[in-house]
Amino acid sequence: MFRWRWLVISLWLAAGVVGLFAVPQVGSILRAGGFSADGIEAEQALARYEAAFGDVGAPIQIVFHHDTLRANEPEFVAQAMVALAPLSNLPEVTAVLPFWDQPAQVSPSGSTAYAMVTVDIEPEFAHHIVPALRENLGPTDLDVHVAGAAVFYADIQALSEADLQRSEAIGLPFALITLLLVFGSIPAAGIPVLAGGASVVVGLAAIWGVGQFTSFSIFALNVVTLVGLGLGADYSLFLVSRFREELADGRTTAEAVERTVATAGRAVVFSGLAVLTGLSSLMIFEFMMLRSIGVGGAIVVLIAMAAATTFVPAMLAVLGPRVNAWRIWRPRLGPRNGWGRLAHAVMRRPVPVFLGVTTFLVVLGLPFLHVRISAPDASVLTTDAPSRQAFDLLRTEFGEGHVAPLFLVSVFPEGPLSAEAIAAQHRLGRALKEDPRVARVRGLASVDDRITLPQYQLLYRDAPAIGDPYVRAIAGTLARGNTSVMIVEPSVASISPEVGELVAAIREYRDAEGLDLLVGGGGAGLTDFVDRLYTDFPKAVAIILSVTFVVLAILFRSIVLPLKAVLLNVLSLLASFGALVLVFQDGWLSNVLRFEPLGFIEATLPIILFALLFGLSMDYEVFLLSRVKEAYDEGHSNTDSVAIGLERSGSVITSAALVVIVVCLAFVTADIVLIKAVGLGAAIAVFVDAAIVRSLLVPATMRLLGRWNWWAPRWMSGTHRGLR
Amino acid sequence: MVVRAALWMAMSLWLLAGCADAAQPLRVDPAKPFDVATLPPISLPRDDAPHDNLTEWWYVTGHLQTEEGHPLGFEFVVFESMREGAPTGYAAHFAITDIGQGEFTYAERTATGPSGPPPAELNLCVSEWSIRRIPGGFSIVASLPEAALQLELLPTKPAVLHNETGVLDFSPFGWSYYYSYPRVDARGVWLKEGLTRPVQGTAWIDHQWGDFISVGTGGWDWFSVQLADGRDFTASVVRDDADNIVMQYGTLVDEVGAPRHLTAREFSIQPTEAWSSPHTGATYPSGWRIEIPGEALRMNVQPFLKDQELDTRASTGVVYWEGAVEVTDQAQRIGHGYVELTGYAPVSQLPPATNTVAPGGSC
Repeated sequence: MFRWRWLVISLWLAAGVVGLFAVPQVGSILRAGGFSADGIEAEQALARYEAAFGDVGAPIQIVFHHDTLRANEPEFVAQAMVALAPLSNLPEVTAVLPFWDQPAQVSPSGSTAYAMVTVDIEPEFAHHIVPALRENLGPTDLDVHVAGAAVFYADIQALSEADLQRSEAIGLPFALITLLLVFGSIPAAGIPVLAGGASVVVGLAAIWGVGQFTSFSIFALNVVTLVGLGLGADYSLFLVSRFREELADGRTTAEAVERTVATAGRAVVFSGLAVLTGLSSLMIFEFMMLRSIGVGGAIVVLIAMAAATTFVPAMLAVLGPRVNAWRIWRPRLGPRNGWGRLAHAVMRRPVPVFLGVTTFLVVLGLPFLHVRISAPDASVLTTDAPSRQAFDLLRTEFGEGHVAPLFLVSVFPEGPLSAEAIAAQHRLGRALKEDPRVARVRGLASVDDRITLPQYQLLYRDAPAIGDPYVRAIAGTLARGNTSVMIVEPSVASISPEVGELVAAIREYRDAEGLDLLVGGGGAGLTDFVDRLYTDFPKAVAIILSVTFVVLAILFRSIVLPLKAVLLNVLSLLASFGALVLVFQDGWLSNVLRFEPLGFIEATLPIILFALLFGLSMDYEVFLLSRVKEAYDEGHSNTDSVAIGLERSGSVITSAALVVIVVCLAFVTADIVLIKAVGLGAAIAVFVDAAIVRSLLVPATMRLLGRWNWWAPRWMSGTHRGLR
Repeated sequence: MVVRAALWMAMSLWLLAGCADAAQPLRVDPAKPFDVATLPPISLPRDDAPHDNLTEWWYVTGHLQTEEGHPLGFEFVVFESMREGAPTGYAAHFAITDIGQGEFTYAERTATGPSGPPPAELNLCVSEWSIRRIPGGFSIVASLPEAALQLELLPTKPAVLHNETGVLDFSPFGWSYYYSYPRVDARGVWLKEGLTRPVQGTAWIDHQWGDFISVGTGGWDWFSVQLADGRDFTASVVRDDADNIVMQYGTLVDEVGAPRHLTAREFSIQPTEAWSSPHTGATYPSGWRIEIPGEALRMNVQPFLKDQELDTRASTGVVYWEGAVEVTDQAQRIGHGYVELTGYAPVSQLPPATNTVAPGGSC
C-alpha cells in the first residue's frame, strides 16, 4: 500500500471526478413504487384486470373544486374544459376522461369532480410527467389539484432530494466538527470526511451505472447516502486512530500503515461484511423498494470498505506524521482513559449490571409489543405537499375508500353478464354492502340496492344493447370478455387494520363460494405487501443472524462470543424499535421532530432498520472484541482482556459512534417520515449499542461467561491466526 | 434472560405475521321480496314532484292547432334516474309531428344533477328544456333545431290512478306508481322559422315512478286516446321475449273524470297493419283495432304519419316509436291520441347509432 499510495489516490480521484458527473443523473434512474411483487394476490388481480381491460398505466387525476359552482353546471364544465384542453397536446398524454361522461368522478356534493388523464409512460417513471401536467393546465377559476400515485411519487422524489441536500448540508459539517473534536487536527479529521464523501459520490455513481440494468427505488437514495457517509467516515476514523496510535508507539509511516491495515483494516473488513450481510438480506425480498435499498446499500458498503482499506491508508502513507499537523486542540485520546476502570467496575458486579441493563433495554423495547404495522399512503407527506392536499380533498369529498378502493377481479367462464354470474356478483355485492367496513360497492349487480336480481338479469340479458344508460356505462366499465371487476370502497382508510380484515373476509368468502376471484387494489395491496414482507422477514433475520454468527466465529475462533454478540445486538435493536414505536406511532416528540404521527409504523421501516442496524451496531462489537481478542491472545486473563479491550477501543468507538449519530441525526431533519425514522432509529441504535451495550452489557456478560467466551470446537481452534 | 429476549422477539414477529386475520366474515341475508302493499297511497299535488326512486318520468303528449288550424302532435318526456350514490341522471325527448306538413322531427337532451334527496317541487331542467309545476297545472319548454314549443298545461279532469290504486307490481322486476292527467288544456306558442304562432289543444300527462328499470322482456305498447265524446282511454300491454302478453291493463275515464280500471279480459287490442322503418329496419305495428265490449266502444287507431320513430340511443339507449294517432270508428273520426311502441327495435340488431348528445345542466 505504501508503495502504491499515489496510484491509489489518483485512482480514487479519478473515480471521484467521474462520480461527480454521474451523481446528478441518479435521479433519472430512480423509480416510483416498488411495493409490488408478482407473487402477491393483489398483483395477480392487477395482472388479470390488465389482461382483460388493458393496461392501467399510471392514471393521474386532475381534480376540480369550487365552493359554489356544481360539477353539473355549464360554467363548471366550461372552466374544466379550458383547464384540460392543453393537456391533450402533450405527447405523453394518451387520453383525458372527463367527469361529465363519468358520474362516478363527481363527488356526492357536486362541488368536486375529477378528470382521469392516462399517460404513455411506464408507471414507475410516470412521476416525471407531473411537472409538465401542472405547467400545461389551462387558466381556470376552479381550484385545480393534480392527484394520483405518480403525483405522490413526484412529491416524494422532490422532498427526498431536498431532504438529501439538507441532510448532507447539516451532516457533513457536523461530522467534520465532531472529527475535529475527536482528533484535534485538520488532516486527521479531514480524511474520514473525504472518505465518507468519496464513498457517497462513487457509491451513487455506481448505483447510476447499475441502475441501467436494474431498478432503484426513490427511497434508496437517502438510505444509501446515510450508509455511505456514516460508514465511510466511521471506518476511516478507526484507521486514522490506529495509525496515530502506531506512530505514537514509534513506528515509521510505512510500518504504521502496514499495521493499521493489518489490524484496523482487517476489523473494518469483517465489520463491513457484517453490514454487507445485513443489507444484502434485503435482496431476498420480492419488492423492488427493499431490494434496491439492499443492492444500493451493499454497493456503498463495499465502496466504504474499499475507501477505508485503500484510499485512507494511501492518504495516511502520504501524510505520515503530518496527519497530526494543524492542531486545533489536543484531545485526550489513547489507551489510558477511564474505560478500563469502568470495565473493572462492571465486572466486579456482573450479575446486577447484566440484569439491570437487560431489564432497561427490555423496558425500552416494550412499546414494540403494541406496534401497528402498515404501509404508507399520501398521508405520509406533510399537509402542504400538493399531492397530500389533493389526496385530502378527494378523501373528504368522495370518502376514505374512494381514493384507494379494493378491486375484486372475477372470471366467469360463461361470461360476467350471464344470469349465473350476475347472481353470484349480486350475492357478493349484498354481503359487502351489509358489512360495516364497506362504504360503497360498484359492481355489475351492485348498482343500487333497490334493483332486484331478476331486474339485473333482465338488464344484462342482451349485453350489447343494455337499455339503461347508467347500467350500460357500468357494464362498459366493469365487464370485459369473461372478466368482471367489482370496486369496493372501504368506509375506513386503506391503511387501517379493518381493511386488512375486510380483504381477508372477502377471500374467505371467495373460497367458501368457490368463486374465481382475486382481490386487489389499495388496501389489498397494502395487506399483501405487509403480509409478504413479514413472511420473508424471518428468513432475512435468519440469514443476518447466521451469517453474522459465522463471520464472527471465524474472526474470533469462538462459538460463544459470536452468539453473545448476536443476542446482545438483537436486544439493543429491539430497544431502538421500542423507541421508534413511541415516537413515530404514538407521536412522542412529534412536535420537536416536526411530523404528524401516522398511528402506525411504516412496514418497511423495521426491516430496513434491522438489516441496516444489525451490521452497523455490530461494528462496535467487532472493534471492541477485536481488541479484547488481541489482549487475550497476548496472554491476559479473560477479565483483564475485556478491560484492556475496552480501554484500547473506548475512545475511538465513542468517537466513531458520535460521528455516525451526528450523520444519522442530520437525516432526522427529513420531511419524509420514513427517512426521518431511519435516521432516528439508526442514531438510537448506535447510541444504545455504543453507550450501554458496549460499556456495560458486554463486560458483564463476558465476565459471567468467563472461559466459555473462548470455547470453540477443536477443529476451529488453530485454523485462524487471530488478530494481532 | 437472553432466552427470554429471543422468545420475545419471536413473539413480536408472530404478532406481525398475524396482523391481517379476518375478524368478521362476510354475511349474506336472504333477500326479502318487496311487498307493494306497504307503499303509501299517492297524494297529489305532492306526488307530482320528483321522488327518490330508480326511475321516474313525466310524459306529456298532445294535439295542438295553430290559430290557422294547422294541426300538430307533440311528445315531451323527462326521465329521471336515481342510482345509489351517483349524481341524478336526466334525459328528455321532444318530438313534433307536423300533421299538416307531414313532417316528424325530434331531439333529445341529457343532464346530470347532484345526488341526494330530490326537490320538493316539480321544477326540472334538462339542458335548456324544462317541465315545471305552475298554479293549477304545469308548463313545458322544449326546442328542436328550427322550432320550439312553450306550453301551459292545465288539467281539466282530475288525475286518475291506474290499476285502481295507482300501484303496479312488476314483480320480480320491481314496482311503480302510475297516474295520468287524461285531459289537459294546452295553450302556448310554437316558434318555427322565426315565426311565433299561438297554439292550443289537448294534452295527456303521464307520471310514473318506482323502483324498476325495465319491465317485460319483450317491450310494451302504450295507448292514450281522447275521445270526442269526452271520454278518455289508456292501455298498456307488456310482452315477453316470445311476444306473449305478460301484463295488460287499461283505464277508461268518463266525461267527468271518473276512472274505470279495465282488466285484460275487458278489452282487446289487435294490430291491423305494420310499418318497417327505413332508418333502423325495425318493423312496428302501425294500426290497431281496440274493442271494449263492456262499453260498446270500438276504435280504429291509425298513425297520422307512419314514420314517428325516435332513435334515442344517445340518451336513453333505446329506439322506439311514439306518435300521434287518429281514432276512428266506422270511418268517422271519434278522437285522437298517442301510441308508444317499445321492444320492436332490439338495439343489438341495429346499425350503429349516429346521434350524439352533449350533456347539459339541470336545475
